[in-house]
Amino acid sequence: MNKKSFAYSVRFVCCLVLFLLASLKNIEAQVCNLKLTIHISHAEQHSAGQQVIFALQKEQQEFIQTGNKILQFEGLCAGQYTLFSKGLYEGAVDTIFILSRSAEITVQVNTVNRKLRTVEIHDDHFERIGNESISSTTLRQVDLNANTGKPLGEMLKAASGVNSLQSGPTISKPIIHGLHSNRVLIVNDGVRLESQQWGSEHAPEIDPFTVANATVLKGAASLRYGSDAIGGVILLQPHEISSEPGTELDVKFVGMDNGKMGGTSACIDHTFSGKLKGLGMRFQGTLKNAGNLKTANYYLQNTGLEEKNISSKFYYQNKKLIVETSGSIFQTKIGIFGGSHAGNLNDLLAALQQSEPIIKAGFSRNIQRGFQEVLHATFKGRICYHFTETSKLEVIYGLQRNLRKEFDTGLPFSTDPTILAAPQADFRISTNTIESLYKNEFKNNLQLNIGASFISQGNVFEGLAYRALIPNFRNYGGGTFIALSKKYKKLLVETGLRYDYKWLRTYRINYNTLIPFTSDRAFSNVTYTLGTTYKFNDFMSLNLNAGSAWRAPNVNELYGNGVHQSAASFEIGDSTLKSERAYNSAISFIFNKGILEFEAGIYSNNINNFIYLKPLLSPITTIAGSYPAFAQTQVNAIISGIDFDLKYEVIPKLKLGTKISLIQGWNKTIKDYLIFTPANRAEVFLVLEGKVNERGKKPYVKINCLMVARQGNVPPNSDYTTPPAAYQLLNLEAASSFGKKQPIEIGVSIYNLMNVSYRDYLNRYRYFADDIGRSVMLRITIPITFKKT
Amino acid sequence: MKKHNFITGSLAAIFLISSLFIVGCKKEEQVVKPPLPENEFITTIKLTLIDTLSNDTLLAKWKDISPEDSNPADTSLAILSLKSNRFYKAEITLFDETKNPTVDITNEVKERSIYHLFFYYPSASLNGNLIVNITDSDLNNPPLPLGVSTNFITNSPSSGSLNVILRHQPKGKNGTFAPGTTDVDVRFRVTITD
Repeated sequence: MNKKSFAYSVRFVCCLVLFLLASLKNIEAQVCNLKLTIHISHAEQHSAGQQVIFALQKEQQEFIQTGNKILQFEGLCAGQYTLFSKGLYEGAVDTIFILSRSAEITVQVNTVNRKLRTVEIHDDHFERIGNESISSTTLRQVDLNANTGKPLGEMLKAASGVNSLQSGPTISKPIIHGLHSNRVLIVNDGVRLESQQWGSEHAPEIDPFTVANATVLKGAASLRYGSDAIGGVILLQPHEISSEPGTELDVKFVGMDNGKMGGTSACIDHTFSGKLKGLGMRFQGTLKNAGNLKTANYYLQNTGLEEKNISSKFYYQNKKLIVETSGSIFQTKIGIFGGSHAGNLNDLLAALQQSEPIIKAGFSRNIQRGFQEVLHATFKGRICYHFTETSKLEVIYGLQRNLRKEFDTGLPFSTDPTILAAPQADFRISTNTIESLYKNEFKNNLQLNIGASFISQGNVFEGLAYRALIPNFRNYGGGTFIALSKKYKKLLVETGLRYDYKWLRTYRINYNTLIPFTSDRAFSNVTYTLGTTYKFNDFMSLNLNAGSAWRAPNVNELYGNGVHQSAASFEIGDSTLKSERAYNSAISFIFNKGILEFEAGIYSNNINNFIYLKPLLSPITTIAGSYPAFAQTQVNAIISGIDFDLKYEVIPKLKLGTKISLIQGWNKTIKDYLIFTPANRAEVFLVLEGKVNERGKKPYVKINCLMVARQGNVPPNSDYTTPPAAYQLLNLEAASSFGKKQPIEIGVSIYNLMNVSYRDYLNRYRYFADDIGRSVMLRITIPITFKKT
Repeated sequence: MKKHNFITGSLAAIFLISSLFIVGCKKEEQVVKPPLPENEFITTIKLTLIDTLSNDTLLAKWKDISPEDSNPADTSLAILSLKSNRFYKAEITLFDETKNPTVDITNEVKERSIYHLFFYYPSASLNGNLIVNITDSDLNNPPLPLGVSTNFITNSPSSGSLNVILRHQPKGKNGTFAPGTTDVDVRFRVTITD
């Protein structure tokens, strides 16, 4: 694809947007448009014939209906409603609904022993297109809250099958079923995050305080989201701006004793009424600061961090149209642990001999050289037009600019003050993405989705390093897909096909002659999927999914060539690499009724031409000594595993649960294990829950034991040391909401309660130091609402 | 009607501004910046030895003018041919030979002497027939050795090698090897003859 046709497509979309905006006139605004259909299920046959009065209540609103089997309420706003009945069923159907989208639900009539039930109907925002049968986990506010203050990658570990690749306590990247970095897409509020994802010490540039809902699609979800997602997709959503007129202010504070970490985030939403009905806006900001973190026995020198983020959003909705624009700036400065620098192989081997780092440190907030500074700015525009109740067109435009500066411990040799203050690596990447999606639901339960997306990306390297770590490049890509799904009573069948094209031009110079040159690569391929979901009944379902996806080699795999300082390794790219092709299949079974919630999944991901760093026999010698060499190589690999989740209500209010993730990676070409596959892990927890309050929140106390096995399945001679020992951690958390008029939510978490000293196989700093010790975290949330009456 | 005109107008403006972003996108990646001239790299380590008996000067040089890559270094001149039972005054100099003219970086190491330290390790095959003593010190209080200036003392004829290491110790320089990381780690061939 060339530049011209990209510009044309952009112009086309802009015209379309203007056309849709023009058509805004004459459409009467209607904000509260949710529908709730309730099926009344009668246990006793004799009462089935009588007409009963039901009421659905919300503050001043009350909807009354007389019926028996099906109740339909329309024109509801998002928020909390209480269903109750008068007369015969009094006290027998009482239910609290926390509504954020239209829904259909069954309510059991229980005249004896009826307890007040709460049903939360969340708006998952994104629609499951061609991936409904892919195993997924959604982390809601409650799950995320318990980990507020941690890096995003650590928060996502609450989902089974999800791990993290860490470079110390503050840099964490999510791993889904053993795959990470370029093989996992992160879609934040509808825009796919584009930064220097290839680097293992480059964490996602997202403010975790803005995430209200995180869904992890575990499997090749490339059909909808683009070709690279052969490992999975992480969908992050902020909470929605309320459709009810008024102002909502949400203030959060978080503090942790370890690192004396403090963070605060405030979000103010305003929804207009009267002339501007349908228009909402948001302003949000976060500040976070931490000093040196402590392991069980010692401080980690230079592990502080500073973070400053702001974002804003404007949202307009009427009966047919949603228009949204948002902007955000994420800014962080993260200290790189002083003990993790290895000048060459001997330095690393010497560090391995030490039981604790040579550099002793106390507490300090001062971030010294050996740090990274990242700025990520995002602009998003989204427009969604509903032609009819069942068909719509959506266009999302994203502009992202990512500036990453990495400062090494050593000052450069120079007398020039600008050089002395300059970073060793300075990456600037700018990305434009545009995506359109058309959806139509036909009368015969057939759903059609058609989509297209374009990306244009430019990268500049301007560090002090003698040669660029990755070359300058320009990258264009385009893709289009079609997905169909059909429901036959209890069975849903879905299938889809996608085609993607990618073009990459790198700009480099010959370092001897300083003559510039370019080289081009193009990749194109198809993605396809077939899946089915069988719902035996309301509480039991089976998912089957099989599909094939691909990923083009990344620029660092093609052209990277040099010392990877934090790993003390010399990595050599291969410009002739082909695309990876994944064949993914998975089965999952879900049971969710009464006292038992259960989910089990088995998956297998066969990846041909899997790109990995193969250890070479002879080291490479530079002036700073020798480095073990690794070359980007393609092999055939298979990653398979089992995820198992169970929650059982032992006695009322007391739940016992477990989460187990087993995984194995196998290199079929050399008939040996794949390096850096997550270790098997299991979690056992006990939760004691209190009564639901008026705001739909439950107080709880949870004790959790995490057990991580030693990764015994590693190939020989490919790592500097053997994998660390197995470890067990005990975590404790509790949360409750206080105050009726002005509620305050308070939560306390204690991680690593027993202050165990341990090292994790997937933390790259395990060569140098222990993981962090006991940490007590306190969270306070104050939601303030000003309603217009 | 007016309210929609207002909203339509402001939203249209936002979209127009965003489309300008796309059109106004400069292709800055097409200009590849060569290495900055003011930024210096250690490419060359030179040992200059003066024989205190004969006043002869010996030179040995280890160089790799393509830093940070896998091209092998030029070690053809990294040879020290010493005489037995002599006392040499030695001086180490560091150069950046990617620049024209060549830049001497030794002064910058001296200026940052509080966190730099050279180590000289004669190989076991020299059987203790080569002893290197550091004669200079840094600006720490109390002063610690630096290792730019040294004395080389030879005994009986033998052959082996000398490993020269420059440690970068921004935290905790205490005269020992352990703190910090390695900036330079090179080896010179050594022969001691009568």
